[in-house]
Amino acid sequence: MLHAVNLTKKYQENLALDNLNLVIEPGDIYCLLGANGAGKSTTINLFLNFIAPTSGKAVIDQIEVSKDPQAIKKLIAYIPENLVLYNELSGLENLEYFVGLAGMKYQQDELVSFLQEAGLQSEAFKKRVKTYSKGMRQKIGVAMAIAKRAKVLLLDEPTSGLDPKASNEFSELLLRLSQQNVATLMATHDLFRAKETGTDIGIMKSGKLVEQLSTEEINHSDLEKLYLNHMNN
Amino acid sequence: MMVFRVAKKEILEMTRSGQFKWMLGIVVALSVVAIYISHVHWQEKNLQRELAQEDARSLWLAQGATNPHNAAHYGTYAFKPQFPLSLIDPGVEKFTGVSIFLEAHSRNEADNVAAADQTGLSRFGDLTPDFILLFIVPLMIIALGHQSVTKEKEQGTLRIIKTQGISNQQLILGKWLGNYAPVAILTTIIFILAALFIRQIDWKFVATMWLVYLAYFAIVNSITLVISSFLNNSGISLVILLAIWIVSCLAVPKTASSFTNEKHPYPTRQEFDAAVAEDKKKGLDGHDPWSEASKKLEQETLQAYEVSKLEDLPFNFDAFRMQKGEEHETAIYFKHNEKLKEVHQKQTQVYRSLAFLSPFLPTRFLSMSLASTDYSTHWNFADAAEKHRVEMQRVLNTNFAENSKLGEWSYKADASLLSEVPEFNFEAPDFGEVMDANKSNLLILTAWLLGSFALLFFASTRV
Amino acid sequence: MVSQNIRHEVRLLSRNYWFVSLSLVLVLLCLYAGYNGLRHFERRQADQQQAIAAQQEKEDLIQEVALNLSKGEEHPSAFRLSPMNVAIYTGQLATMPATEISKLAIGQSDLYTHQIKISSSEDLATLSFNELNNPVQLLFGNFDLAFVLTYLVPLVIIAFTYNLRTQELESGRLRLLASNPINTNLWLLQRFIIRYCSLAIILTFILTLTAVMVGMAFSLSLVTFFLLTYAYLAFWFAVSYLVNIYGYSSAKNAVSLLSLWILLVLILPTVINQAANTVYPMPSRVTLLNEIRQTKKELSQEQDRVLDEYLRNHPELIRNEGQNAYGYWQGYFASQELMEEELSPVINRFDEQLTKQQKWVDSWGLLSPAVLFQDGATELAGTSSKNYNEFKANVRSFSLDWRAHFMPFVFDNTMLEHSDLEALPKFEYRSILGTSGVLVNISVLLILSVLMAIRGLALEGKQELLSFSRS
Repeated sequence: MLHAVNLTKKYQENLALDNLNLVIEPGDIYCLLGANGAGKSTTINLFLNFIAPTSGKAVIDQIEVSKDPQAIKKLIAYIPENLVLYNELSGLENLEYFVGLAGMKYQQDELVSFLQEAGLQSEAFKKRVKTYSKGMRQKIGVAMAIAKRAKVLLLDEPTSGLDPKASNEFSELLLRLSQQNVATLMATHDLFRAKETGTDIGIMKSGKLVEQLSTEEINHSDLEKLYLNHMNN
Repeated sequence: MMVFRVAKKEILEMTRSGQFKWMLGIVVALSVVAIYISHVHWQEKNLQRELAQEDARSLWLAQGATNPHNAAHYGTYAFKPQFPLSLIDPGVEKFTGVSIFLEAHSRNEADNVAAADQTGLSRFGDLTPDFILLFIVPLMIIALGHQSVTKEKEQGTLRIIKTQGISNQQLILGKWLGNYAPVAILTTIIFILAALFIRQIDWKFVATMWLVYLAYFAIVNSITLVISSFLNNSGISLVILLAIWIVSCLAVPKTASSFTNEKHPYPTRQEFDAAVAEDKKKGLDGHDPWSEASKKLEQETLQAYEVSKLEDLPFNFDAFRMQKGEEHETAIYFKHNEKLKEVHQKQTQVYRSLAFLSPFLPTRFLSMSLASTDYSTHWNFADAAEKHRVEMQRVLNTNFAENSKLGEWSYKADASLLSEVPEFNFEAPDFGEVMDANKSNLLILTAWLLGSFALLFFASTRV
Repeated sequence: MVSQNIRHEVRLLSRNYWFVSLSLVLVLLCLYAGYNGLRHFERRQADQQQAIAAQQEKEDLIQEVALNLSKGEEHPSAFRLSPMNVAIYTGQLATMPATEISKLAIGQSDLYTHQIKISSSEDLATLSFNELNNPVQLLFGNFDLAFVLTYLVPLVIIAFTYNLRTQELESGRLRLLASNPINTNLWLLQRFIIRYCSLAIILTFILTLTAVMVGMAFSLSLVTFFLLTYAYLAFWFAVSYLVNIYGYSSAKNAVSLLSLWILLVLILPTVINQAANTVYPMPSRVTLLNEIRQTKKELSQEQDRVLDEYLRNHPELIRNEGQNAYGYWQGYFASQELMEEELSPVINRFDEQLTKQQKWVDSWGLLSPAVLFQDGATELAGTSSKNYNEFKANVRSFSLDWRAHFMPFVFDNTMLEHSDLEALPKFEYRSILGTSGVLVNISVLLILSVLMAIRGLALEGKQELLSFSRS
C-alpha cells in the first residue's frame, strides 16, 4: 500500500532523509522509531506531499505522491502529535467540517456513530472543543479517519502527552482499524507502544533506516537494548 | 544599574532585528526628504514674498505726485512674512492667506490660500517634518514597543527574569528607556538637521519645540508599555495600540473640529459681507455728500468752526468727510471682525478643553504656536494689517484735507507723501507671549505626561 | 467545499465576540459620521438659501422698478436700471448646489464657497472662492463617512483576516487540512471571499441605515458609492490574502499589513501630493498680484488708447456720437475687458499647472487604494477638487458673458427695460464630470484585487509552503 523507493530529501547540505526504502501492506502498523531529527517526520511529510522529495519517490496505492497529490489525499488520514481543531466549534461540528472538506457527505446520525466508534463519550459531542482534553481531540482525528474511509493512516507521534489510559484506548482504535485493512505509518518515541501495537518496527538515525524488524521477532527489553545501541553509535 | 542593563538589552535586541532597521531606515529617509523638500519650498516662497513685498512698495512709490485719495484707492499689499520655524511645522499656513490688499473704504480678507491651488490630495496631509513627528514617529514607537513585555511573556523569559531579583519597576523603566532612546535620538537628529537649514534661528523656540515633541513621544512610549504590560498577546497589543493611535491622532482631532464647528459656527463669507454692507449703508459714506449722515456731519462741522459755508472751513471738507467716512467704516469692520474673532476664540476654547482627550492636540497646538504658524498669529497679522491700513488712510486724508480746497479733486500731493506712509512690518509674537497663550496646552501636555507615567507605574505592578 | 466553508465561517464569525463587537462599533462610527455629514449638508443648504434670498431681494427691486417704468410711471430708484448698476451692484449669484452624496463625503466643500456674487467690477484673477473658515478645522479635516471607510474599515479588515492562514499554520491545523484532497489556497480564498461577503453585507446594512438616517433617496450615484466601497473592501481583502499566503507567522502578518496600511493610506498620498507640487510647481500668486496691478496701472494711464483699441476690436459698439463722447464707464468696462484679455495667459498658467498636477495625481494615485477611493467618493459627492475647478471655470466664463452682455447698453448709454431683464444671462452650474472617473477607480481596485487573488492561487504548491516541520 505504502512504498518508499530510494526516497531522499536534502535541505541545502543537510541530508534529512537518505535513500529510504519501505513497504507497508494493508493491515500493517509500521512504527518508525528514532531520535528527534532522525527523519521520521520528514518521511511522513513526504507521504503527505507537504514537501517534495529531492530524489526517489513515495508511492501510495500505486500512485506516486508528488504526481497526483489530490488523488492520494482521498486515501489517507493524518493525525499529528497535537491535533488542533476549531476551539469555538463542537467536536461534531469540527468533524462535519473536515469530513466535508474531504468531499464526504454524512447525515448527523452517521457522524455521531463515527464519534462513538472512535470512543468519544457522547456527552462531549456538542461541547466546544476548547473544553476537550488532548485524548478527546485525538479521538476526533480517528473519527475523521473512519469517516473518510481512509486506506492509509499517517500518524506523527499521536500518543505523546497522552495519559496511559488514553494512550491505551488510542492503540486499541489503531488495532481495530488495521483489522479493517488500513495501512498505518506511525512515527513515535514510545518503544512500549510500538511493540504492543505495531506489526513492524523501523529504527531511523540521521535520515537512514538502520534497522527493520517485525514486532513478533523481539521482546520489550531487547528492543530497548537494540534501540539504545543504535543511538549510542 | 539594573535599569540601564535592561535598556541596553532592549536596544541591542532592537538593533539586531531586521524589522527595526527597515523601520528606522524608512523614517530617516522620509525625514530627510521632508526636511529637504520643505527647505526648498520655504526658500522659494520666502523669495517670492520678499520680492513681492519690494515690488508692492516700489509700485506704491512709483505713483509719484498724485491725489491722496487716488493713492488710497490704488492701495498696496501687506504680506505675511514666512517664519523660520514654518520649515518644521507649516501649521495652518496652507489654509490661511498670505497677502492682504490695503485700500480705501474696505478691510479685505487675507487671500491666496495655497490649499486652493492644490488637488484634493492635499487634504491627506503634506510630507513635512511635522507630519513625520506627529504621526509617523508615534507609529514607530508602537511598532517597536508593542511586544516589549508581551514577547517576554509569550516566550516565557519573563518568568526567568523575575527570578533574577529585578523589581518590576526597574524592568519596566528599563524597557521604557530602551524603547525611548532611539526615538529621542532620531527626534534630536531631525531637529538638528532642520536647524541647519533655518536662517535666523531662535534657539528658545527650537529647543521648546524639541522638548514638546520629546514629551509627546514619552507619553506615547508610556502608553505603549502600559498596554504591552497589561496584555499577554503581542498581536492584540498591536491592534489595541493602533486603535489608540487612530483615535488620538485622527479621530479625536476630526471629531473636535466637527464638534467645534457645530457649537460655534463661522458665518459664511456671503453673510459676513452682507452684514458689513448693511451696516455701511446706515452710516456715513465718504463719497456721498447727499446722505443724511453727510448732512449731519456738515452741520456739526460748520457749528464747531463757527462758519456758515463749507468753503470757509480751514480745510477741504470733502477730504474731511472722506476721513470721517473711513473712520466710520473702520469701526464697522472692527465690530464685525471682533465678532468673528469672538467665534474664533470660543472655538479655540473648545479645542483647548477637548485637548485632554488626546496628547496629539496639545502637541499640535503648541508646535504650531511655536512655529508662528497657528491661527492666532494669522489673526495678529490681519489685525496688524488693518491697523496699518487705518494709519495709511489717516495720513493720506489728512494731507488731502489740509492742502486743498473744497471740491478741489484735481489736487495732487507731492510724491514724498507716499513715503510718509510707513512700510508694513509684521513681527511674530515673542517667546513669552507664545508661552502665555499656550498655558493650558502646556498644562494638559504635562498632565498627560504625569498621568501616563503614573499609569506605567501602576502597570508595572501588574506584570 | 464552498457550502461547507460558508457554514463554517458563519459559525466561526458569529461566535467571535471581537467581530460582533467591532461591527457594533462600526455602526456607531458610521452613524456619527453620517450625522456630521448631514449637519454639514444642512448648513451648506441653509447658507445657500439665505444668499439666494438676499440676491432675490435685489432682483425683485429692479423688477419692480422696471415694471413701474414700463407702465409709464415714475420711480425714485430709476437709476437702478442703469447697466452699471445691474452689472455691478445687482450682479448675479453663481451657486453650486449640494448633492445628496455630499452628506457622505464632505471632501473639499469646507474649503470653498458655494455661492459667489458675479459682478462686473471683480477681477477674475483675484476672485476668491474660499469660504470663511477656521483653518484648524481644515487642517484636521472632517469626521465623515468617507473618512471611516478610507481609514478605519481597512484596519477592521486587517484585524479579521491577518491570521486566517497563519493561524492554521501555527496551530498545525493546516497540515490536517492539507492532508485532505483540497487546494489549500483555493480553500483560503473561499474563506476570504466569505468573510468579504459578510463584511460587505454588514456594511451595506450600516450604510443603508446611515443613508436612511440622513434622508437620502435611492439613486444611481448611491449605488455607485456602494460599488466603490465594495471595490475598496475587495482590495484590502486581496492584500491580506496575499500577505497570508506569503507569511509564515501571524505576528509578522499583522506588522506587514499594518505597514502596508500606513504606506498606502498615510504616506503614499502625501508623497504623491508633495511630488505633484514639486514637479509642477504653482507660479507665485503673490507675484501675480503685482503683475495685475502693473497691468491695471498701465491701462488706467492710457484710458484713451484703451478705448480706441477696444472699439477697433468691437466696431459694432461704435455709436454715431463719435468716440470722444464716451466717458468714465465706457473706459472702465473696456479696460476691464482688456485687462482680462491681457491677464488671461497669466491666469491660465495656474489652471494649466493645476490640471497637470491633477493628471499626475490621477495616474500616480493608482498606487494608493485610499486615493482611488477618496477621489471616487468625492467625485460622486461633487466635492472633489475637480468639481470645484469646474465651478471656478463656469464662474469665470459666465463672468465674461455677463460683462459682454452689458457692453451694448454701456456704449449706447441706455437704461435696461423690463424686457431686457428677462434676457439677462442666467448662471447655471453644469458638470460634465460623469461617473466615468469613478468607474475607472472601481475597475482599477477590482482588477488589482483579482490579480492578487490569482497570484495567490498560482502559488499553490509552488513554494514548500508547509515545510515548517519541527524535526
